[in-house]
Amino acid sequence: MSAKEIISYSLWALIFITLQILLMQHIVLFGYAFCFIYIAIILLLPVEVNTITAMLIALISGLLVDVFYNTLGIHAAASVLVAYTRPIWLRMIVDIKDADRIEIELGGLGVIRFSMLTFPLILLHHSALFFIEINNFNLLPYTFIKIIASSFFTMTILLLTQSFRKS
Amino acid sequence: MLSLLEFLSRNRNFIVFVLLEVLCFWLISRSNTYWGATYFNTSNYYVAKVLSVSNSVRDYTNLKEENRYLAEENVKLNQLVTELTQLNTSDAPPSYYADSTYAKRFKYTVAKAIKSELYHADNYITIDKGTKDGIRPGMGVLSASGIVGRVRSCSENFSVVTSILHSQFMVSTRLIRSNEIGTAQWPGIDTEIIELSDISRYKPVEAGDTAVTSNFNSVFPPDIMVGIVKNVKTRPDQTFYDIDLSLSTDFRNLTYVYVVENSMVKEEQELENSIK
Repeated sequence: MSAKEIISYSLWALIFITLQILLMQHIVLFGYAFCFIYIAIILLLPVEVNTITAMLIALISGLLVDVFYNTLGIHAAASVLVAYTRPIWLRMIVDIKDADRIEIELGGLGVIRFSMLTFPLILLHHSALFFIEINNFNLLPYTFIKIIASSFFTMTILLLTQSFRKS
Repeated sequence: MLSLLEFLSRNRNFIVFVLLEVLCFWLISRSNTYWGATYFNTSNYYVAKVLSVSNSVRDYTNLKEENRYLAEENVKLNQLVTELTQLNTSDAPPSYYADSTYAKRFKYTVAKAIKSELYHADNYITIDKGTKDGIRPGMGVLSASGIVGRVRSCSENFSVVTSILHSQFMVSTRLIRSNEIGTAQWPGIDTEIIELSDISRYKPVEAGDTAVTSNFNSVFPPDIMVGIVKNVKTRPDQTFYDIDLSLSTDFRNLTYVYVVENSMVKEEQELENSIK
């Protein structure tokens, strides 16, 4: 990972966090769909970053978002889960020998493969988030709708932001 | 010992993962139960600062709606204030009781000024309410800061208001401090200045005195702000002051106005006309 890559990645991380805190926090579509775009920070980490570092980054960005949502720990827990699962999922879906070199970006992968890599992780993150948040299983159908709708919303925003990124 | 280290090293990802998750859940459970002075939430100074900045942007985009709510609220408050001041007039002798229908004779409707002239000798304002909303020619028009004018003609959805910036428009005005009643009329030229005449020069009048609408007025409720005395001149051959009032209504930024209906004006005028 070159210095240039690190700077570009940090800038994107800053953009995602700012988007989340200043804009997405206020947007709820139809009362169901929330957007948690900050998860892109973990999803788009270069694969050569080791899992422990990824988890620490996830913890920090999650806590940062938590502070603004008044939900200390919830976003951090869900993000750390995603950071831990990401290499496992990558190894499952990509050939073993490619898994260490693959670059997670829209330009190189195309919409379908990019979505296949990221969407299940978004789904996992949102499920963890909403289930930790409601803390029980009483509102199951409502929570499921919220998870699905929010995942699609986040995915759309992710694709949108990525289409602005130069490949 | 070696195998333990080897086990730790092999599973270090998982171990760190579990540790971090435990930390997170500890934070969650702590912030749920310990509701005291937790530092890492939106009450933190820097977090609150960021949120208030982001909120100010949101506030700006909501201003339109917010304005509408405020205008509606103002209507209710205006109505209440005139009703109460009419019921308990402060300068009345103790034996005077206002009839409640008389006190409730003023009704307010909120409207939006969609066109406001400023630079003619006779200026008119167009508002977005008409006969459909109960607006009739002759009703008074106020803004949040003072008087605006009088309805001149109405269509179904719009009305034209004669602005106080009109050469023929006269308002009976009272100076609060000296309790003198005079007539205010726009001399033309400056949209912020109006002339007040018929105030006796043997009464004390100073710059800074407040001028409000008087009781001798069937169009406007009494005690509506007209302006503030800007300068007072006397001429040796006149028994009246030449007073310049700076208008309290800002006609450049007129948005919401309140149309006042005096429900007893007809009765009053019929009675007055019958003796002529």
